[in-house]
This record gives sequence, structure tokens and C-alpha cells, in this order.
Amino acid sequence: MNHILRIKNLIVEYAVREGSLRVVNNVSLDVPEGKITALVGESGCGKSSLLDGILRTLPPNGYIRSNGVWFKDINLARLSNEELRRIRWERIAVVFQAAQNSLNPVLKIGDHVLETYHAHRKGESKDEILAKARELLEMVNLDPKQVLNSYPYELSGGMKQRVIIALSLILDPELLILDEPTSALDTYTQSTIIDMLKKIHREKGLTMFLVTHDLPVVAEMADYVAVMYAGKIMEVADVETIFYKAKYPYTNLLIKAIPSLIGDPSDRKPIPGSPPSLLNPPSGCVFHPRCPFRRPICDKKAPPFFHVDKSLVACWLYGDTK
Amino acid sequence: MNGEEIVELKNVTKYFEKGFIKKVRNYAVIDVSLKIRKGEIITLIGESSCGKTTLGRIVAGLIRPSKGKVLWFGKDLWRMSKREFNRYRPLIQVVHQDPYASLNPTRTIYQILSPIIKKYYKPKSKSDLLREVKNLLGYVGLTPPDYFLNKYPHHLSGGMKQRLAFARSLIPKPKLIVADEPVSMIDMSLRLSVLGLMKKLNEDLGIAFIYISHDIATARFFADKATLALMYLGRILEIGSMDEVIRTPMHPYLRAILSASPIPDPRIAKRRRKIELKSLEVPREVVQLKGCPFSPRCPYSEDVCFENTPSLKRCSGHEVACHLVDKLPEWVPPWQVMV
Repeated sequence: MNHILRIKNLIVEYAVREGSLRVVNNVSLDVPEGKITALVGESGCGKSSLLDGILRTLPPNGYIRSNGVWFKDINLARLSNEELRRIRWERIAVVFQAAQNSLNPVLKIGDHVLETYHAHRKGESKDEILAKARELLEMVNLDPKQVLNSYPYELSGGMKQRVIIALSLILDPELLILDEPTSALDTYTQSTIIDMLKKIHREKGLTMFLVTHDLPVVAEMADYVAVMYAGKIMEVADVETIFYKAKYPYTNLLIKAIPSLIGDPSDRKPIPGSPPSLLNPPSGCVFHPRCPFRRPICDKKAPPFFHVDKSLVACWLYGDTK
Repeated sequence: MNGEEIVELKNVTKYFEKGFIKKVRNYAVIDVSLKIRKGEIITLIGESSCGKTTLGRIVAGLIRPSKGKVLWFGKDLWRMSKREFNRYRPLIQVVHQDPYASLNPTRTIYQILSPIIKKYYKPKSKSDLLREVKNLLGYVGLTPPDYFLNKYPHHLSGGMKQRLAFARSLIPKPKLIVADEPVSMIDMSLRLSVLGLMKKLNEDLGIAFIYISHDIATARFFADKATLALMYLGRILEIGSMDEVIRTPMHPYLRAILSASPIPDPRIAKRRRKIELKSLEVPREVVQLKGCPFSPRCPYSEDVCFENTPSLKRCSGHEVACHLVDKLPEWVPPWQVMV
């Protein structure tokens, strides 16, 4: 399998008053090409910081260290800011969380499209660019005539989200990163957006990297899933393994903790305890204070990754099966 | 009146007027009647801007309806004397959506809870007061209480903040809590524990709940014996017991939402077919008073739907407001097809 993105030992830290806050702790992850990979975790687990670490869009108090972030054969970590700027949006596009707010309020959508295009490529005429925009807007079920002449405030949240998705495709990126693409939307609008993204994936074969805490969305879209907890990736597997035969205790508990329309509601159980503070993370395995299968070794040494069936899992439960 | 009803709404309508010379009426709630009895749970389900929050605020007496009556314990809320109002007011509490905004960030947990406990319980000494605060914290699951006493709200996670908000609302021993999207801002893994707390309050203390949410799945977990009321553009379109409504949904809008609800099971979710609506957008500008509010988006709508507003009628165990209820095609929720 080809990997479009290979992250090697990425560390992201923020300098805060209390010291340094390690939000992404030595993460290595490969994103397969042509598939939808999901990164799942609760808020504060570092998943958005991981994205910022990949694209170097951290706030000024953020620091990155890594053994390389490879996009195809380019090491993003080695590029100058200008070189990286050219890759962002042109080859790697990002739909940010609450993307509804990332449209410029004083530009009409049509002008926004032109501005974005011209920031990256020269040469094509206005008509050619707008023709392409029309095609993409139709793909997300919007009326191009109306939308291109509208200001963002004239569109509903769901429409703005679809505009952003269309806009992210205007330069034909090779990788589309979606950070919580459907949070803050109504149920029906959410499922419409998911259907559109699936259609785009199917028709264009576009690789997607979905970052979310919303497991039902993952169940519906993803091929592969990486589970993140307290700054670390703890389990990586295909979506069916994650939902039916997950190996890492946290993954199982998380799936049992989602309210669902199916099954007996009394089967659903909350995860005891709460996520750790990253200023003062637990020793050993970060999940050990909440883990029902804790062993003596768990609070002493951080587990390495083990291959178990189809999963890659960092958990001492599988330590001696090897 | 058997004294069991805590709040009763009679044909309540609320509109907001805008414009100075030419007034435009924006209808948020239209002709809703509802009864909440002791220990009962009603969940109001609807998408954003359907009027569910406004309805919750009317129940809680925070806004006055434009038309219709609100009865608290059998008495007209907006005609009762100030003394009566002051007696009933504490018995109906509200827990808001955003625990980050509803707790004073400059006060410790002790400072947030103790003045209210002083007012209602009149403890004899400081140690009595402290004991009451600790009992309360322990009851809502903020344990050990000593650890939390001198913490500020920003030290707490979203779930803990919401527990604190519930603790505060419990002090006057309420009969009804209006919970407006209490878990929508909380992490997935912590939602269940807050819903579990609400369940405990309902079962142990007999507190009635109005649970306002856009998410049927959390509503179902909170109370499978509850009444579910589906709202759309200010009207209730379907109402009945949770179990039945989910098993045999009748209104096309409810079916569409159920068909679009995400399910945490990849095999079912990946094969899901949702009911396509005529339009993706909720008509926001003017709420039409003529005809069924859902008719412009409904895939089945006929001429009659645009002319007359349907009223709630009994149909397969619950009440539905739809003209075509007998003509609708059979529909089985996607997860039942698979199982």
C-alpha cells in the first residue's frame, strides 16, 4: 500500500506559564493513499495540534520536533515557509473546524474563489476559474449562479460548509484534511455533507484524512482509524476491526460510550474517570489510571506497538503474546 | 386538575416582532399545547431554529408567550401574585447548554453553591453549611468533595461543569428541570455520565425533565420511557412515547431525520440510505402560517399540504400532524432492515 503522508516521531509542545505542554507525544502515523483515514480522539487529546504540526500552522508558542513529515517524497519539516505555503491548499487542502467562519465576510463567494486561486496559480482566465468553481459547486448541490454572487452572511451554515468543501477542491489537491467537518450542523445537513464527501472520494479517488471525535461519522466514512489519547496514538486498524474487535481497552470503552439509536440503551456505559492533564501526564501508559485491565507494568513503562490480528496497538495486554 | 401537573401550556404562540414602521412577525412557537406531570420526562427534538429553546424558556417562565396560557401548578403564571410567583419560581429550574458561560468564572465552587444553600436551607453554623455543600457535590458525582471546594470552574472539564450546574439547580428542591442541550458541548465519552446523572435525579428524586436536544440518540439513552415531541418551525409534528415513536415513526420529517442519524456501526452506517428531501435548507425568512410547515421540503407533499395546517391526530399509538398519514409508504428504519 502506498502512503501519501508519513509522520515520523512528531512532537508538538506549547510553552505555557506552567512549563511546556506536550500535546502530541512522539506520534508516528502513515496515511494510505486513496483511502479515508480517520483520527479519533476526545477534545484536548491533541488531534488538532497534530494537524497543526503537519502543516506548521501552530500559534507562536508552539514548537515542533520530528524525524520528518513526508508528503509523498517531500519532507514537509524541511521546507521553507514559502515552499510549504505553496503546498498548502494546492496539494494539501484543509477544511477547518467551524469552516463556516473561515470565509471572508466582505468578499462575495466568487471573488473569494478567484483570490484563493490567484494566490497559488497564475495564467488562467477568470472565466476558466469560475467555470471550474461552478462545476464544483454543483457537485456539492449548490446553485452556482446564486452562490457565487452571495456574501457569506447570506448563506446558511450547511451551505457555507459546502462552499468551503468546493473551494478546497478548486486546485485539485492530492490530500484533503477534514477537521471536524460536520460538528455544529444539524443531523440532516450533517448526513448530506457526509454523502457529498463520500461521493467526492468515490469519483475523484481523493485521499482524505478525517479528524473528529464523532465516532458515528467515522463508522460511516472511514476505511482506517487511528485512535488518539492524551497526545499519543494508541491503536491503528481498519474501521471494522476498530468497531467490532478493537484491541485497546480505551477504544472498546469509547465505542460503548456513544449513545446510539440501535441496541439496548442499558448496554451503553460511560468511561470512568476523566482524561489526564497533559501538563502532568500519568507515568507509563497514559490510559492506565482509567483502564479496567491495568497490570503492574502499566504505570511503569510506556508500551510499544504490538501487531495483534489486524490491529497495531500500544498496550501491555498484548505484550507477552508475541 | 388533579394537582399532578407541574406545567401546562395551552395553545401557546410566541412571535418576535422586528421592524419599526412595518412590523414583521417572526414566529418561534405556534399553537403548542403540552402537559408535564410529576416525574415525567419530555424530550423536545428538533433542528436548530425550530423553536425548541423558546418553548423551553416559555415553560420556565423566562419569556411571556404572545398568545395562549402557561399554567404552573394549575395557576396562570402571568396572572399570579408576586408572592405566589416567588413560591413557585424556585421549583422550576433551568440548566443551560453552555456550562462555560453559565458559571461565574471568578468564584470558587464553594462560593458558587454556598449563598444559594444559605438562602434555602438556612444552616445554623458554618460547619453545617460546609457539610451541605459537600453532600451536594458528592451527590452529583464531584468526588472527593474536599478536592473541588476551592476549585474554579475553569479547573473543571465540560462534564464536571455541567454536574456543577445541575448541583446548583438542585438546591431549591425543584419539581421540574428544563435542560437545554445539556450534553451537546461535552465530549462523547463524558456525555453518558451526565445523562446518567439526569436519570438518577429523575428516578431518585422524582424530578420531571424537559430535555431539549437535536440528538435523538442521547434522548433515547436518557429516558426510553419518555415522551418524545418532534418540533419543526415552531410546531409539534409528532408526539408519543419514545419507544413507539422510534419503532414506528410516521411523520416524513421524523423519518428523514432518523434515516440521516449517524449510527456507530460501520456495516449498517455504510449501507444506509437516507430519505431525500426536496430542499436541503430550512426556509428561514418567513415562517408560513398556511399549510403544513414541512410541505416545501416533504417528498410526499400534495396540494392539501400547502393549503391546510394539519393538527395532531392519533395514529399507531402516538399523535402525528400530517394530512397524508394514511397514504404514506411503509418505511422501516435502516437498522431494523439489517438486523
